[in-house]
Amino acid sequence: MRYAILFPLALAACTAASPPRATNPTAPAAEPATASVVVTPEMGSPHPGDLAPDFELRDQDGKTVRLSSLRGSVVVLAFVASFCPFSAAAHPSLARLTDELAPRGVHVIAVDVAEPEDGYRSYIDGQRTPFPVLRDDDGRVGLSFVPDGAIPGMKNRKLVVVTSHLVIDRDGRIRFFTLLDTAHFDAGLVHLRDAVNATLGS
Amino acid sequence: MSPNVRRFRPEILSLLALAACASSSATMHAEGPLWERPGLGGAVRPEMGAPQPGMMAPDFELSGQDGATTRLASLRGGWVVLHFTASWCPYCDAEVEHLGEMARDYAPSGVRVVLVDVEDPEPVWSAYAAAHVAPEILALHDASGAAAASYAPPGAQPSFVDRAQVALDATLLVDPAGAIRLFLLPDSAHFDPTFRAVRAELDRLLADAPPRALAPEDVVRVTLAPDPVHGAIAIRLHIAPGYHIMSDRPSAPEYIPTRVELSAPDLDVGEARYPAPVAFDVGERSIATFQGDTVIVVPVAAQAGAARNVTARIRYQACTATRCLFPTTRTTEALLAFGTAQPTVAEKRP
Repeated sequence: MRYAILFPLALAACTAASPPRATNPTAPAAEPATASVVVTPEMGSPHPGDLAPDFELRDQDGKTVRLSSLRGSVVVLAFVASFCPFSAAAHPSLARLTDELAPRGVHVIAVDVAEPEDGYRSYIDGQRTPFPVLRDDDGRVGLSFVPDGAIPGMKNRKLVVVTSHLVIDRDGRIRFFTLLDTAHFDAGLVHLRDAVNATLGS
Repeated sequence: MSPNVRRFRPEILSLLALAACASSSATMHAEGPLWERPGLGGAVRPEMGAPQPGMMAPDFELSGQDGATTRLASLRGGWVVLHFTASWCPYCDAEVEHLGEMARDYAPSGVRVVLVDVEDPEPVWSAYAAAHVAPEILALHDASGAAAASYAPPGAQPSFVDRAQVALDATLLVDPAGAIRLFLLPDSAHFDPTFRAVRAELDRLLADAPPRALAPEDVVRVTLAPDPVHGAIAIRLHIAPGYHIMSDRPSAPEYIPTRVELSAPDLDVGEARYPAPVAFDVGERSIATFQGDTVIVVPVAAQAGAARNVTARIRYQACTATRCLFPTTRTTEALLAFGTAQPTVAEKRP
């Protein structure tokens, strides 16, 4: 992990050696390492504060999972697709988060959106998957989580939620909802983890 | 942590960070850095590493729908819009019709739109291209992903194991000399399938064309800066787009190696550390060059104290794809102070 220390030092050197910026002196020196597209009420529903749309889907063992049956527990919901490289890159973090949160009573659930059977299979078989992966084969559940104003340029609306993450509180209300932010991709799911801790603590 | 992240070495990241400050002047506009401007949030940042704007676009040879192969370098002489796509990528899919519009709109200006499919199976890509890709677009198939991976700066999406996927949905503008002038990675937070920002940049660049002849001293601009953390002086060569200079270890004995010499009163000067060379294709050969913003680091035994006058002599030969300027030796002086929290730089032009 040495580089984690050296890199900021080198950046600090850079900042120090750069001539002072004549324009825009109030601009932040550097962007945070991770940022996210947070779903806001302006984008439409569902958004944080809303009840999460309910659904019932089967997992990889054929077991039916109904979201509303998990009331009383904090739920992490991750929308995934095997074709999406961002889903794949976040997968190890999601598995680690599951290991960390399961003993604290948090349910981590992935929903595989709008994929044919072989895509769904490759997601489950590709990596260690210590959480249920629900199959939303026609993408209807995924679509029910897409606010109308989210990523307006994307034609295939049900794929807007791929690599989105939600935290749902014990009352079934959405407390955290981010869409994929490719330019500031949070592969370590740092923000999600913080949001779970905040929800557990409240 | 993925294997890709583990591959990074601290020295490389530190050098990348130095390169970051080297390039900041090139990418800073009055409005701030490129990636803070509307529609350009995906702009590749200097700290991500090569390839970068100002460097030659990595060459590739790929086959098209008719089976004929095309080399990117064969399109030199005109501007190229280069975009990477895949049939399953929902961002790319929303963009492909607008890419066709761009190809039609800019054809009179001699701009070619090149679309490279990343790693789709051949039948899937053929069917997708036939149904969705406008005939005005030069559609190429990168079955192995090797071409796309050459457009993946190491610091971009370090969590991606398949580096070809980093370039997916990227858009580049390549100038008639083959140099990258704009390099955007996808920015889902500000997704605009109509390429408005790309068109605006292309319009601006086309309005500047033909590139005015550069004065020799503007082909390579030199700045010096102290690097107190490493006890070094960074010599930054800002090499104009479309130009390269030979690396410190050129590929042929007749090429002029780039050399720097630093002199400063009562400073112990160490051996210059040159960056890794950037490959440049001349015909069938690949030669070792420096392009874009290049940082050469010279260690010095620096103690806190009064500013010192530092003189750097830099010998190099600058070339484009078709011609070379005379070899030259430049001298740059700067008054550098060490050991303070905010080193002061008072540069004197020779």
